[in-house]
Amino acid sequence: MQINQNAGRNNSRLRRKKSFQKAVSFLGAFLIILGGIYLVAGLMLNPRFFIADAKEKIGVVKGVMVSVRVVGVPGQPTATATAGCDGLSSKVTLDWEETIDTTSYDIERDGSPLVTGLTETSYEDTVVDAGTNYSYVIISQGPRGTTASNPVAVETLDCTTNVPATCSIVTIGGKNVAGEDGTIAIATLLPTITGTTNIPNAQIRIEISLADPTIINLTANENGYWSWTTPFSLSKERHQLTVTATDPVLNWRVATDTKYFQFAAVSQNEDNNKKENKKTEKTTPFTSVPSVPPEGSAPKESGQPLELSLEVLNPGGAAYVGGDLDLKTSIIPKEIPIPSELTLIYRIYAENGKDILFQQKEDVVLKNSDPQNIFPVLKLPVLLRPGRHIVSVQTTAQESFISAQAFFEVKEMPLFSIGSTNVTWRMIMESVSWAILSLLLIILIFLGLLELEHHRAARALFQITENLLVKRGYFTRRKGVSR
Amino acid sequence: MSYAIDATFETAIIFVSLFSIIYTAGVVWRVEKKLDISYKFFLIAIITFTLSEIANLVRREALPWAGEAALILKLLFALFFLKGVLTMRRMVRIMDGEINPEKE
Repeated sequence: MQINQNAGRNNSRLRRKKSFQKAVSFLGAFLIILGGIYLVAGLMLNPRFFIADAKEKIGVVKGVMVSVRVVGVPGQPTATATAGCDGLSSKVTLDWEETIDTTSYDIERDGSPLVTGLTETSYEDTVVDAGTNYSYVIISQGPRGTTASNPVAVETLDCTTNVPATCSIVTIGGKNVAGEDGTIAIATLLPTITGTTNIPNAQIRIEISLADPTIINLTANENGYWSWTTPFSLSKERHQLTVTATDPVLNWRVATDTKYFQFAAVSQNEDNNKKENKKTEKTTPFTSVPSVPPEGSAPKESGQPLELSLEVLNPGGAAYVGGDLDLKTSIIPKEIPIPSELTLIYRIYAENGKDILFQQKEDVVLKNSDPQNIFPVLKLPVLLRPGRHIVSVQTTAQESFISAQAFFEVKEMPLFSIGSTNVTWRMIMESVSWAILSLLLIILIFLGLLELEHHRAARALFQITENLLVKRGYFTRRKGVSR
Repeated sequence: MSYAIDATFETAIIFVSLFSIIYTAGVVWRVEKKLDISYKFFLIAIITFTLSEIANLVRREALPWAGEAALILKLLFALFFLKGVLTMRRMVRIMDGEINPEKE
């Protein structure tokens, strides 16, 4: 009896030990696999992944020091206040040193609370009037009371009126025209006009008059630089060029520059340029759309029947490769009679601003002389390179060429994210062989394991059937037959 | 930005789910009747869970409906898992003699 009890106890202990061993080995194998995936994924994403993860996720503990100190009254903050500008808005930046026994900071402006519960040691007050005196007090809050800093006074800057808007035409047809008066002689009929303004992202309106009446609306970059190349040959007559820069936020900030220019002589280079230009037009896949007025049919009358403006509606002015570019085109009639029908040609240019990457034609019916907005959607080509591109809309109305431009950012379309890495089509295509191999390997392993499991199940069924047959004596009978 | 931790967990979830599919399918091939049915529900639940995890990796910019698809698949996972559990519970109750299927 005693022996049987001992044997039972030993058996159950053995079973418990075995199940514990099984659990430990399963957990160990799982952790090893997890570690393996971590190493492979980390090395694929970033060779310094371990240090980065340790710093950003886990944190690095260099040493542990235990100290005990009795909490006292919070220390007195020493604050500085600096007046500055955030674009055209005034602001005041407050900075102070961290104080002891402090849990948070409050700020008072002119004796009234401005903000409370700050844990940082700096603050930007952007709700201020220009050219106004303010007095700030920083109050440190702690478990044992509060301590206020000495008041700091500051006068805010006037960021809007201090800087008058400027706009200047710098080059026409590669010739520096800054500071030149009178009629400037240029050597090309396809001039590129460049200039600058001190208004970031200004709305630029280029108007050519006296001959070849043309109005172009475009946007300067964040440095105030703008550039435009005439898409058709200008006539050899005298032209007036007026460029107006308008602040996109404060539309009363306007600056204008005017120059006169005229074609002087056609050089050999110009002839070559013309030939090359014609060749480019022929080789582009969109030659079916007559976007450039034929030479010789240059406009004769001054005055524009309408104006165009173009706006990119995508959030942040960014669109994905292969995605949609949402545009808003405003047609503003200027002179009566207005044309009843217009053909708008949308073009997307390469980064150099000259090569046409995409073109789309849209017919518009003008019902009356009221401004009209249309919202075309351009499907961006999948081969478009990421970066800053120009989209333009142009039309010809009553022998006048009218155009508008806007910038937009092309981003790569992320397909999926693994961790913090966005996998894009470009990444897949750049390592297409590895991608296919990995995918095939995963599918192969999955199918292999599935087949193995199916084989095991079939074998188990076979064994069960065999056992049943043995139990019922069929095998014995067979053995008997042989006997 | 974390580099490998998120990627490790996401990859591990998908691989563990794939293994679950394989072994659940193995159980379906081995067993019969109510147990087979309950494991079939578990299998569908695991497949929908794996698909929802894959759909979660897909960016909204590439497929705008991927997020909604992931949610629907997750809901299907919960429903099929519950159905599997209920089927197995009923089977256990019949085995315990709590329910008599012939009377119902």
